[in-house]
Amino acid sequence: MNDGDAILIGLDKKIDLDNDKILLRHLVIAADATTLIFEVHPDENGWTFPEGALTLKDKQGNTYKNKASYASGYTWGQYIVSDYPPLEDGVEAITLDFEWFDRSFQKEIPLNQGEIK
Amino acid sequence: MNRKKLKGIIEWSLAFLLLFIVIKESPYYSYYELSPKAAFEKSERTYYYGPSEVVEKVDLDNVQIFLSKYKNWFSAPIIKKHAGFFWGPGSLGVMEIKNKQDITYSWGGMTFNEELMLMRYYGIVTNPEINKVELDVAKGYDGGEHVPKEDIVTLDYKLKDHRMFLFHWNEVENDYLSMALRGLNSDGEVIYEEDLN
Repeated sequence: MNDGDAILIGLDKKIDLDNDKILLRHLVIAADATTLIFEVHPDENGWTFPEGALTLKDKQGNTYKNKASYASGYTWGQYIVSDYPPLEDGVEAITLDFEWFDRSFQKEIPLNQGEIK
Repeated sequence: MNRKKLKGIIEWSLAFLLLFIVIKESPYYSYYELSPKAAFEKSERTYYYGPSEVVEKVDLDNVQIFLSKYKNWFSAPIIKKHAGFFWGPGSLGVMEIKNKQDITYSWGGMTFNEELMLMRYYGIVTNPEINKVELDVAKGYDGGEHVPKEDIVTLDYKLKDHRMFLFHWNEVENDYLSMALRGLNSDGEVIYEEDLN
């Protein structure tokens, strides 16, 4: 991958977290950053989503922690753009891992379905 | 029914419908609750935490503290009153219980207005020998400053079956500096002590 190139992977995966719905939208893989774009559709108004509880993991055993998140609020919920460090070379799939008290979920995302933009 | 009367009915119906929509869509309706307990439960639900067991509740008129425990965590959320009769979340302050320690504690304050800055010191006792927790405080001192013994005030809390404790005060009235946290056994012997200053 060259500098400036990015791979955009469309996700469209729905995850139930308690009474809320999380919609994974896109994963952007670039040489200098990995970005996860998702929506949180809450059942009721309350605390904002704990983005830091979402980490990325690859099969080589690397964990990528959330560096920063940008959330925009809408009447339906939050649109969140979360930044992670760049992935190591040769990573073919990552697992999205949510760990928060006794709540957790995992979602595997294969990376071979993307297109270069 | 004449036309004028019909027009009046339609106008009032529309007015009520609009009012209903405004109330339903307002943050007061969707964010706040009418009881502190409902607000506490909603606060935990939307935090993806709990439902906790409330072991003690402190009622300070416009503010309530829910000392609670959930699995291996504990918290002392602040629930506050809004606009006279609505209740909403203030802060949560969840901590993991460290079973290898005698006492796991946390503290936190919240400013409401010029008259009230609520400070709370709370925790859970794992050592079964401890049956009383003491907190030394001193009024009007800064952190790290030397405090003469006669200025130290000791607050105490006799442990109940739930093994949790809570100290709270208003920082505006009592500008306390926390000095030490102690755990005592039934003979009054200190078996845990932590310097906080």
